Amino acid sequence: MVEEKQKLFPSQEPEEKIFLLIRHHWFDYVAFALVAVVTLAPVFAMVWYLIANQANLTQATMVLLTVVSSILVLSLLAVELFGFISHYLDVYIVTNQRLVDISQNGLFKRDISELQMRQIQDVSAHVEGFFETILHFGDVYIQTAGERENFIFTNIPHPYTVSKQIIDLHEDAYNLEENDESSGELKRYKESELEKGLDIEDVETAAKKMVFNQTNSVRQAQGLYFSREGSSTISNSDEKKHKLEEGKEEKISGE
Amino acid sequence: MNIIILLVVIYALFVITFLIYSLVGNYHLRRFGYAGDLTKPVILIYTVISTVVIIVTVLTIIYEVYGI
Repeated sequence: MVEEKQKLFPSQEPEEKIFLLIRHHWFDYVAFALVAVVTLAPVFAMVWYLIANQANLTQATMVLLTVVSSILVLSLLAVELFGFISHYLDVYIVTNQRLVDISQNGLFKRDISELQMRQIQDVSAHVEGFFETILHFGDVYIQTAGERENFIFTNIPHPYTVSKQIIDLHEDAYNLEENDESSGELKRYKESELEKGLDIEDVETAAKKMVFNQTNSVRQAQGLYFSREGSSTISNSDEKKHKLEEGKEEKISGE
Repeated sequence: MNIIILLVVIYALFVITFLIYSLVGNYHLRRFGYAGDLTKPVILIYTVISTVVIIVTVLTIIYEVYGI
């Protein structure tokens, strides 16, 4: 069971595996931080010049300069904190089941949107611009099925690697779903045949053929086998895995 | 003297606003940060710098006004 504190997002399932936690590229924040510093630089320069030439200044002017300097420094800190929160708490999470976009816009706006792996239709990566090319960051576009809004991971590091990983996870999720459907169909087939009073061995042999044929027709490149726990798993193709093993059949037939 | 009092009042109001803002910001970092990430060091650095700036300002004002 995933503890509440360990969850990366509210709807995270206990068995859900986190594959990627992606933040925007650091360049995103550095650009913001530099703009903030550069904007305030002339004001700082003026204040420091006056303080350096304080000999002729009155008491009230000195207090004024001190207060203004302090307010400027604290304001800069506040702006940097705002930028950091918006940058650092804005994350994309890729799990084996879904994509999660946690969008933090300042202090009082936080959106969380999710996309199931099976809803993904197309994934593409885009790197455009001088800094993006040099520093290896860009956008990943995820097209969705139906009328759902497309997902865009903006300014993330290594977009090509991320898009490849999302495609791999999408294929895994798709295969797993297909596998589950086959498993349910097989179970229903066996139950219906046993209800007819047929011999258990005949039913098992027929079921073996059915699974073998289905698997070959659906995915030639990948193998289908059933674990002892009764759950189905997809792994890379191996001719032996197409055949149901003796001990594993019992569990299926016992369900 | 009246101008100095006015400046001190303005600064006090600013500091109160700043503290409320900082509390909200730090709450976000604590609440939504993950174990082992940069949120805790940032909270620490932000708090230390802010505290130092405010303390130095207050001491400078006291020095300018009372000469101590």
